[in-house]
Amino acid sequence: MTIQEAATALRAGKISSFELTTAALERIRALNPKLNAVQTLLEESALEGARQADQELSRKIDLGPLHGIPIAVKDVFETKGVRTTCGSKLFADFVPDRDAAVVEKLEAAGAVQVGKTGMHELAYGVTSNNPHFGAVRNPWDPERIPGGSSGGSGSAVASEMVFMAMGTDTGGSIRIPAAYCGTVGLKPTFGRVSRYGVMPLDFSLDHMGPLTRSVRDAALTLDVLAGYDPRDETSSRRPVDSYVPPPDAAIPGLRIGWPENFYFDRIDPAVMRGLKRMAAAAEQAGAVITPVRVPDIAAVNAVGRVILMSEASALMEPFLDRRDSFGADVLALLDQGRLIPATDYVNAQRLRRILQREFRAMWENVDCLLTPTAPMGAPKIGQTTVRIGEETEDVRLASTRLVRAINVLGLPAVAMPCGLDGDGMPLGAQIVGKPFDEATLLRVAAAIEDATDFHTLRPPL
Amino acid sequence: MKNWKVMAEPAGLDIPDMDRITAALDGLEASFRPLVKNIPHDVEPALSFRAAAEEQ
Repeated sequence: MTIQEAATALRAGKISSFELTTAALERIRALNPKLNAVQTLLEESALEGARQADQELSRKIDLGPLHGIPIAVKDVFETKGVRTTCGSKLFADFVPDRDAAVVEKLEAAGAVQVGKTGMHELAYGVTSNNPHFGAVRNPWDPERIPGGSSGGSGSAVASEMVFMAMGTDTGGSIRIPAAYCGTVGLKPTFGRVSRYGVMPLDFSLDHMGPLTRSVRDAALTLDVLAGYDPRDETSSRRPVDSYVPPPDAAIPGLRIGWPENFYFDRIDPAVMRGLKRMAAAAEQAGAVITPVRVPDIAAVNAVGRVILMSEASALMEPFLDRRDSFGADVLALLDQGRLIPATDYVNAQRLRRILQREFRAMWENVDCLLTPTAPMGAPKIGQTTVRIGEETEDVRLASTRLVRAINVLGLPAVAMPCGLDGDGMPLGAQIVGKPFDEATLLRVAAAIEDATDFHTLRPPL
Repeated sequence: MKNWKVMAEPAGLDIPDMDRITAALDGLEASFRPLVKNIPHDVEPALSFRAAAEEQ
């Protein structure tokens, strides 16, 4: 069931928020011992919120489609009075005295928060194999990673514990778990959703967005989250669109860019098959598939790594004398960042400007790009390299290879399922849009979703 | 390639077991250094970053 379907059933009196929430809590209790997707369960407050939603809806007080819907947020969003660990031993006992802007908005929309999801330590990695709170597991195969850093959110949505879970994305951390768990994941434009109250990893690369079971559920969540927030200096004052595509989303004449370089160089053939089916579906819906040469994505990735490692290490510098508090992989990245010269950081920001201009020129020829999200399905827990074609690649670098650049450029992107690999693991496609053009992006994604059945696949739980 | 150990010492960075990170730094150096050589002198850093030109 999607949020849209549940919202319709709620208003028709066919189900109550209390029943939805009770079912969510029961599912978490049943599956979480196996998946470790939810780190903190908020049973009492969730049931209270559900009762309140039912009372309000019975009195025709309707706060919108999220009203009464059980959701979860990644444990990086500050929650007033509720422990917020950021997946780190350093913050194991941190109880904020404020809510993140995202949490405020979800509560104002009547969503029922049932828990906080597990994640990669400090949101700095792709496995969610957390040394302090345990490995989060993939519902399609618990021996495999769910992706990260928002791995608990991906696992919780794919296993139908909740209808939506919030994630954050600094180098792919919403889209990678969406791909590996077979869900939709939306990373909005930088500045579109407030970062206020989110424990930061990187000042200029962190984005907030939902993981859901359908494109329209992601869109209706963005409707709630988008908007200017003076408490976030990078928040945009641009007017907010209505993002939910209509039921018969048509895309006549829209130019969907099909990259001629980089994106299809080293991917599982099953990813290519899925993307070709998606392209055919888009053409059936009226779009024009347009071959396009994209700017140097490998260069953007290198720039992104310099910026991320510099900013993350700067942020964590006060804690780096407590080396026992970090997992080995995160500590290695933080140590690397300390050795990047200031001149490289400044030059990376100069290159970012150049690459942004090159992308801007590309948008004159296409309205969006269709690419893979990850080159392969989820690796096994503990696996450090993957074999793709003739090459062996580091799991972290392979997982971020096709998504990191989009953070550097601040562009909106949606990840969505595009089939299964030979091991039966989900694969992901990515649609990238122009800055602040989430409406077009989501319309294209919805048109493709309507014409394919990838989103109906469910893990064998 | 840079000698990361020699760089760390005068910077006062206490980073034990440097060998576990030098290969990754070498890889990044190999991909990033060539890019720097081609930056036009008048390009300013995107230190206050915005995703769209109108907001810069």
